[in-house]
Amino acid sequence: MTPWWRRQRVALIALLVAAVAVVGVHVWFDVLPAATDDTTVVEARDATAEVAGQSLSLDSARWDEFEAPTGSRTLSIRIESGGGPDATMCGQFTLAEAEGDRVWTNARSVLDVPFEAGESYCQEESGPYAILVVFLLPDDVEGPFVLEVPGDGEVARFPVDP
Amino acid sequence: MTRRPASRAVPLLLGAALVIGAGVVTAVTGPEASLLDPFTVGAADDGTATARTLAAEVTEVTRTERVTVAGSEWEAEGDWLVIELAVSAPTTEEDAAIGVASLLVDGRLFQASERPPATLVGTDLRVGTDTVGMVAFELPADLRSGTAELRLSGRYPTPELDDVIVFPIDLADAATASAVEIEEPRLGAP
Repeated sequence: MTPWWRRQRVALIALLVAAVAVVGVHVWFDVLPAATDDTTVVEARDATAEVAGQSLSLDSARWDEFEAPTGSRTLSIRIESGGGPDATMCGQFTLAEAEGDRVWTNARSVLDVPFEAGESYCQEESGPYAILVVFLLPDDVEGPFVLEVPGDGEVARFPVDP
Repeated sequence: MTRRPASRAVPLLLGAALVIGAGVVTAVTGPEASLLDPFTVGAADDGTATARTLAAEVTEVTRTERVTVAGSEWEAEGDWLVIELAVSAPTTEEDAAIGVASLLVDGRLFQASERPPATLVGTDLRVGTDTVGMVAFELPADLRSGTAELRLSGRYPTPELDDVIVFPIDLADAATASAVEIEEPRLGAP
């Protein structure tokens, strides 16, 4: 008498093919599209990186330039941009702890920062211009940080150690 | 070859067991909506509740019949419950804000009023620095006692499988005032 699995081999093979097909369809249509991340990371060299069609240079990082509530202080970061014919707008500047998971965004809108002190984000400018981003950090944070500037499918990363 | 009666009964028994098993699984599985229910987060001993995108503390609860807004001519009369909160973002400031503030009383859900020009709802929150502001609820006149639940969640209007902060609010214990001035959200400790 032939063993059970031999008698049922057609059904078993069909079951195996169906199981592989189910997993394959799920991975192809659900898992792979979600995992695709096309963002290219551009690490700054000599505090300069190319992003959004322009060259950005980290100029300075300064504590306590603007008034902050008790228990907090400000970190002002100035960036020089060369502008250029292909310059486009960029996304929101973020400051992340290099060793930690906290992330801050530009807090100029809630601080008393003069409008003319610099742009808040990159501009479509052909000539050079200055950017000023101000972060509101709690007193216990010392750095180092990583400043990220997203733009045009890329993200530039500047190490910041004020 | 003739089959023994016992072996003929095996498929029937297996089939019956599968049908019963399927029935049991269906019976013990919760409704589909419950699979996406939010996780409720209560306050710790220090009064602060920390969820995935919000950290909040209730600092003042006041019942009043008149609300005004600082620096605005707007005012309204009615039965108002004004709640002052100190809120911050635990890890990231990206998209950090109270998106929905609601009050659940006796199975009735009230959204924070959008009528006052100043509200904490939708205000950008900061990591490590509190933002103090108010949310106001316009309630029916008969709701004067009982325990309400203040529910706070992030930017998404339906917090599926996400944290929702829940504070119990004793309506009978709330302070009363003839008028409350709602202030614009401000940075700093309460």
